[in-house]
Amino acid sequence: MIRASLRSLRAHAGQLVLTLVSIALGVSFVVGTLIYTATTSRAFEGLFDDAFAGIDINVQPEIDLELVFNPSDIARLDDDTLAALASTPGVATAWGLVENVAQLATADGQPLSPSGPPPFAFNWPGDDLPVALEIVEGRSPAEDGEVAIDQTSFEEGGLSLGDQVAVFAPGGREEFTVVGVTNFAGLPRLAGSNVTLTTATAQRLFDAEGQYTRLSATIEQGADLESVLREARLRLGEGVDVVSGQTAAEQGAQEITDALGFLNTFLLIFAGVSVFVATFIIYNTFRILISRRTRELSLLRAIGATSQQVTRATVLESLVVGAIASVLGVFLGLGLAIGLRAVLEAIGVELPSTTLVVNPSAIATGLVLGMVVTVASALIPILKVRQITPMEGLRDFGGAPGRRPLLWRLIFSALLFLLGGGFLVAGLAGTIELGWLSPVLLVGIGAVLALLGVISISPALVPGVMSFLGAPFVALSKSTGLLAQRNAVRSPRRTAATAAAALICVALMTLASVFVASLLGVIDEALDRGFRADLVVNPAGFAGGSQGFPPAVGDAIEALPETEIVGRQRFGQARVDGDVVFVGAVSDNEFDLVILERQEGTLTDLGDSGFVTDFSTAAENGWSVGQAVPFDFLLGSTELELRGLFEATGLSGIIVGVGSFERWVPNTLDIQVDIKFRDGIDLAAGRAEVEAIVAEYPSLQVSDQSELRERSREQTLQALGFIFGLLGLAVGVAFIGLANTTVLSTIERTREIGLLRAVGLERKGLRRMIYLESTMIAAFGAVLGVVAGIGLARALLTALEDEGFTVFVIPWPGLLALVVVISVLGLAAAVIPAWRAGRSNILEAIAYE
Amino acid sequence: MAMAVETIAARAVNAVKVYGEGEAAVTALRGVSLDIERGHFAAIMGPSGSGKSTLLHCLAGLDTLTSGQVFIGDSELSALSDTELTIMRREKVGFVFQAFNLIPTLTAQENIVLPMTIGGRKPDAGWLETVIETLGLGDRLTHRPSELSGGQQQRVAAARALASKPEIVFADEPSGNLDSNSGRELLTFLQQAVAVFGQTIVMVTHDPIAASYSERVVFLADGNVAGELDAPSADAILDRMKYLER
Repeated sequence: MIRASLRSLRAHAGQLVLTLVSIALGVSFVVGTLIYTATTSRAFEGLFDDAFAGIDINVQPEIDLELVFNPSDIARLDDDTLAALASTPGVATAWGLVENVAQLATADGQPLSPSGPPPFAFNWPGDDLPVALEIVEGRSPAEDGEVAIDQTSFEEGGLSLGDQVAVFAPGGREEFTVVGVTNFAGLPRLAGSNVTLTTATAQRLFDAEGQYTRLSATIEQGADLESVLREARLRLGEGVDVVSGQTAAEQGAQEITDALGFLNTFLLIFAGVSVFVATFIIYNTFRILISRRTRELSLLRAIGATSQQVTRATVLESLVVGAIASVLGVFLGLGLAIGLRAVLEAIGVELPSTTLVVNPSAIATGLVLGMVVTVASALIPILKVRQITPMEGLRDFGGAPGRRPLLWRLIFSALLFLLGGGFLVAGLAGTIELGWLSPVLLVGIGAVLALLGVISISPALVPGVMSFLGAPFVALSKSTGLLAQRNAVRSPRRTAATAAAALICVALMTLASVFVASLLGVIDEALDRGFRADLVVNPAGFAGGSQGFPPAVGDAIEALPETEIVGRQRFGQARVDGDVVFVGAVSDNEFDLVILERQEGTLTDLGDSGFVTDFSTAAENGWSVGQAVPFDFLLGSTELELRGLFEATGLSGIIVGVGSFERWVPNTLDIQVDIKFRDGIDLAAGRAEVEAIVAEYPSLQVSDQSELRERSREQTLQALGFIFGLLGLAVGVAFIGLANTTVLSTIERTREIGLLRAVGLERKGLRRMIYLESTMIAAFGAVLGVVAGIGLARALLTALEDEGFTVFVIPWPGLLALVVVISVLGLAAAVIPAWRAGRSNILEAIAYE
Repeated sequence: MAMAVETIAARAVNAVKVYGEGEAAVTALRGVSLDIERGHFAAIMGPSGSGKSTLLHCLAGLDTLTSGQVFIGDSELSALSDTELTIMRREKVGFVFQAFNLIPTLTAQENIVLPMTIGGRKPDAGWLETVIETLGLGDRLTHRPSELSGGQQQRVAAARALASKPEIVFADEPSGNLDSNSGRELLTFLQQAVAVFGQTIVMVTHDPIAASYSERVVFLADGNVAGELDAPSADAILDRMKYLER
């Protein structure tokens, strides 16, 4: 029996190639992501090991990591703590480090900090200390006014020693003379640009006289590290974290890996989509192969093979296919990991160089996933064949497959869809805590269930939708159009299963498109109806939002005689009433710039004692105006009074005063300055004044409302492009699936094709028929995908209504273009099968045996 | 062989067909010359392996000769490109095969007019009605092949073959898969088509009874013409076949 199945496998090998490729692609995405992830964390482990080499003790303020939002959210230690550490018995040398975030540019304004990764500023604690920084050219900064900068910035800026550069710290722009070039733990730079200053300069720049963000120490030779650590902990007391250098390195690597975890999750989601899509292709292929082999299988059963043996043989076959595909997928995954790294490096996610970490767990995951998915997908059609008696099978094509009644199918699909929608909304709202079920997982399960709901109803929709979709083709060509349309509806289940792959891709693309269009709609509306500012100053670039800029910018603009209201915005995290949430901070006058639809209490002058929020957030939390609510910030806990409630387009969430941030949050950078000029001021003239101030800061841009709209459009479309790119692989898998089904169904219809040729269908016409059929199937998937995607988007945005998503925009032209593109892909997928079918011999096709 | 060209619907001249090459080569036709007269019902008979199906395929433009010539009307088939050949089949030839004659996704009506639909021609409504009526298919036109009996399917195939008023109809064991009643009905109809409408039909069969419906039987053996019978009875055919198979 094993030999029989292997022989039949060999006979069908050609028809399984495309299936194999689709499984391999899905597996490769998963394996590639896992390897990339492992490589990333290994790279950071290596980096931190180097950075902490030679350091025995690391002391940091004890902070609540959950509340860290900005890279500069770091608490401080003072000279007394350093003195206590230095005097601990067993400590040889102790020194303080000042680390913060500061951008770098050449003196004439060419930015040297890439947008994206944070640009760091360090102090130089002393030449003979084991610090991660290393001077590779010139010397270390010795006095105020001197700086050492990272090698990449030095080279990219075309600088030489002695040149002037600009550093942007909370205090504003300041010029320094380059005296040295640094590497960080062997890397030309850490993350963004790196500037290294004398300790005193760094402390002055970050408003931290006599303060440090971290302390390091070495111990005397022969001293026992554990006992020194114990003693240091006793002497330094509460509020500080005293660990060995090695532990600090591990923690540091872990933190960064965790921080990059979102990227890995994100990639894994898209890898999952590819596997999901591939599942349908495997299922479909085996369904077609098995239905064609029903006779063969029935004969085997008729001559005495038990149905278990038949099942076993087919399972074995799928196992072999799954195994080959998985192995192939693992190798492809290796390549993909390398490619992924190159792509992410190209968009600014630079990593310490290290060799690829091919971890066994990634390979095992890929292999198991590929095999399980293949066998499971093959098993369903096999079990169906088992229900047919041998004689039924021998008679011919197996007859009509047992059809679930339409009503049941409908109810089943609706249940799946609703259940999926529920999961999706619950996951997105993050309202349900179900132990290990993370919100991301909930969203994933929800989307899969909802799509399965649509897919399971889709066979019933095939005839109706196809008669509509096929109409133009039938009108175009009475013969080939009609034949193609009839072929497409011939086996609704097969058409539906083939289209499912395209459906999933298009549904996700539609979801993303509608979401983005609605987001843009919200932004537009917020600008139209909710915002009174003439100009906005904020950092350029997509990732620029997380990099603040010195409040000195706002101060200078406020000092301009032309400005009437200059509002500031900051962004951070806090634990409010027990939950960690994003918190905005605004200057006392910011709400004068917001056009409100509804208001209660007062919204301005929050200082450091009040906060405001939107009506629905207050209602959800059961807060009322005048109530005191506990806030935990990074630097301490307090109670803030709810001063007012607002309703405004595009504005929601918890908002405190900048005063609270000044007191409780270490990051003192603004992320946006909103400007309203006095009445009668010429906009262009006012703008020129603002731009003169901002010109000093290369990362900042000035926008009026229409530019702001344009920029937000560009940025969100960029993000949409990224998502489409990641879905590209899944689209590729769907494409292969279409080609695969078309090949299989033309082979299956050899006789019919021969007949058509015999009675006068030219090669050209035959090929056109096959193109049209594949196009229609792809279009069917695309149309259903658009509908499903809009449905999912509707559910999603309804769930997010409280977060300010009050606008629902369906980008029809874009979605139409999507349907057209997918249909054209369907046509392209049929090119080779159609060519093959056109070449087939008529006689072979009509010969009767 | 001296007949005027206008009265010849199809003609093979010294037709040779060799399958394969070298030692594996099998010669199916060894120089067959044959005229099919217009308006006649001819049958080609022979034991299996005699080359009768190959001859039919070559005459119908479904296969090409190794050497020699085949004419449909006055066009020589080897001179035609694949597309020209296809159009020729569509416009001048009708087919009835032994089985799998119909496109399963099309209704009987659509199957009948298929060659004309492909060619973008309008069927002659009056003629179509006559054919459908004669074959008794009036109440089956909207049915799919799977909803028709074997006999009905073959009648639809015959209707398709005749609907476009082709030069010649080729039938390859048309009654081979039918029970004797349905077979008789179909053959009678083919006979009528020749007698009443003046259609030319060439039928390949190994069944003497089926062949007895024709006006002339050409016998093939080992790729050669091995004689013929005019207006034969089934018994006479059977005798000749016994002789050939010996």
